[in-house]
Amino acid sequence: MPSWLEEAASRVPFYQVLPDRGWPRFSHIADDLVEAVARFGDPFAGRADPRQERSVLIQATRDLPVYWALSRGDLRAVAESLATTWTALGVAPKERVLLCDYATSPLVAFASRSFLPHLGRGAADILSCTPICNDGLPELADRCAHILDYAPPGIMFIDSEAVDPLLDRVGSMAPTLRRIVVSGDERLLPRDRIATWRDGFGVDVVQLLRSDAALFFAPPCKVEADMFHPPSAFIVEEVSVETTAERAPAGRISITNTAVRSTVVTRYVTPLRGRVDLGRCRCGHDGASVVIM
Amino acid sequence: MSSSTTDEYYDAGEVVPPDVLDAKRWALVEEVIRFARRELPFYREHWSAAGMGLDIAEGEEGFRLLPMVRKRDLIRAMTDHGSANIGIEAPNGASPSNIVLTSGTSGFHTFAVLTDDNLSGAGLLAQLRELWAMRVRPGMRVLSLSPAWHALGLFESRALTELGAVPVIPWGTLTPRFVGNMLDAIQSLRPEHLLLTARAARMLLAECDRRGVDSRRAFASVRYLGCAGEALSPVFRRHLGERFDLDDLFERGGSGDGMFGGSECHAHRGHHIAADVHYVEIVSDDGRPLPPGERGSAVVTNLGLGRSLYVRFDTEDVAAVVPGPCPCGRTHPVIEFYGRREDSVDVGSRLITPADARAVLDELEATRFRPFSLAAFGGEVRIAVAGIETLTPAASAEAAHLIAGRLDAEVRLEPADLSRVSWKETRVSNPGVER
Repeated sequence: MPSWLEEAASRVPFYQVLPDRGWPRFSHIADDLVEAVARFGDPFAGRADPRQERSVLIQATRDLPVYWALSRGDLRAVAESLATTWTALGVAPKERVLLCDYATSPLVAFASRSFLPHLGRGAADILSCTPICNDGLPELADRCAHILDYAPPGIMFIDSEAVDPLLDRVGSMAPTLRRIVVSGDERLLPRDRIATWRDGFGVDVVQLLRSDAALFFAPPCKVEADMFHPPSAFIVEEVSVETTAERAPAGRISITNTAVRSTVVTRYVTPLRGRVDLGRCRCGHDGASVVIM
Repeated sequence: MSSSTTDEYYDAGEVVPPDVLDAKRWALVEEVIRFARRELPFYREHWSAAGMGLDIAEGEEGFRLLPMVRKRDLIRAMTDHGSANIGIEAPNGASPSNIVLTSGTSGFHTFAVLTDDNLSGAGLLAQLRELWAMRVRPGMRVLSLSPAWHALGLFESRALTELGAVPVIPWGTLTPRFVGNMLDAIQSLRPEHLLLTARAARMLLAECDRRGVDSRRAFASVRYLGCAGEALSPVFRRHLGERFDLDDLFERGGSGDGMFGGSECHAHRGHHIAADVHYVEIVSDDGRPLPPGERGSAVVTNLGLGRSLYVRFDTEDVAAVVPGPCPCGRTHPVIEFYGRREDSVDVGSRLITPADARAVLDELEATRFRPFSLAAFGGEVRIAVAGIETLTPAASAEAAHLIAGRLDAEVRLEPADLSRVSWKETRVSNPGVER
């Protein structure tokens, strides 16, 4: 872990009050964030660095009352990670990209400088793509179908909750789509469900690994199943989960976000079970990979 | 409520003398017409079909002869082309940076492109003036849930950036399922300004009631509210002002189709529309330009490129130019909006709009803030109101009598079929029933 991050974590109150779970220093879970909001009376859960600029205050996840305080530098760094992720997912320069997710989802907010105040360039701006957003409400499947009909994109990002209603509505009637990227917050859907969607839509369907509480996303490996390659701004680790009898076969994935500095995210432990592989992947990716189990 | 201050204007362009503004506007109109005639297939075909040819006379005379464009023309072009690109796109050499959906009030979304040139140029200027008139200031915490599919959301986001405001963004969208996030955000992050829809403001108050929270305490930090989405009745304004304990409340209005709008200033006479960014005419049903004070359809011409260009686009919203100078000192026209033309009814030679009916219905406790729709049968106005099934016939008749007196028309009040009431896509004039 970079020394600046250790120092930052030592400076903010949140990391001083964490319960000891036998995990590496600073490790924490979502419940700790919620408790800190109440304990400190602070919507940033005691994670915001008082020395940093606060340009945007945005809720971290759909269900947690926890907010990000983000500087313009943070926004830039997250958008760059998202652009890297888009590229890994096959988004081509100048392509039209459909976003079927909430405007507050990091996958949308960081996509365009027009979507999030103070964001200098979003992923689409970086890649010279043209985004079009349909919001994340599943009941807006008709409007999504309308977009697919009249402003057909090459690639679509969609919240996992909105997929079935859209499939019911359009089936395989989206001829220009070559890939659908599905994501759910800290939720990976089973392979057979993805296969069902792939068959139903008649296009490639892949999953993006995502944890909104860590402002984290990682594209899937092109070769290995259930493997994801986080952009370099993230440090991923496996935290062991002991049972009374023996070590569990897979730990929980913890995430450190080095892209954001105004809010310190060090070893957020997700509910995702898996392992972290280091080194070069068969696909050519060099660096840490997350294998979800 | 009034919030006049000495830093009233965003820029000097808001107070240029009317004759200077007028000259600038016509210069921009002519530039736009020349561009459309040269570059935009939709207008070449539309004008040609009206027998205009390409030899359009310059100046106001030639402009007034141009046939208006209606939503159905855009829809027909879309369905004919099978594409969102219908030949009104005027990126003017720039790459489109965003595609947005325009309003679905007619049940069919059209699309528009925006480029960075417009989002950081003329379109941004109009939005900056709008936010400034609503008292958004640098460093101010502003709750904003701008939808990323709507042009207004994009302009708002850019303008908050330019102003150096600090946005407070709760998760979700402006629907009831996320109202808890909105209320939590206001209580914990204490924004001074809320940019919402009227419906979202109602949702927030309902959420306070549901939680048993005193709304004035919950919204103690909030000084200003900018409300879009519908014309606010005087009673509803007072209600919001009291329950939010506001310094000032600003109605925002305009049209997603045509992509223009503006807010009230502290004088609350109507919406200031930046006349050097959009030219709005008010025309009669037969297309005659109407003088200030007379109601007609708002017809917009965008005066900047780098976007989908609407030239004499009939928004089919009932509006009027408010006569006389505005006390705020802005020289740009003030336009009041009264609701969709198709939601209005003709009674004899008079037009009763949703805003007219809303104002009267809100004065009566039985019908206050309830969704409704208007229909005319012969000389009678039938007002279907949601949630009045329990009114006795006598009470209903009495309410109808009072409403008739205020609207100066025969009125029958009847319960609305709630199944018809949903968000935006219905012809119900107050999206107050939440889902």
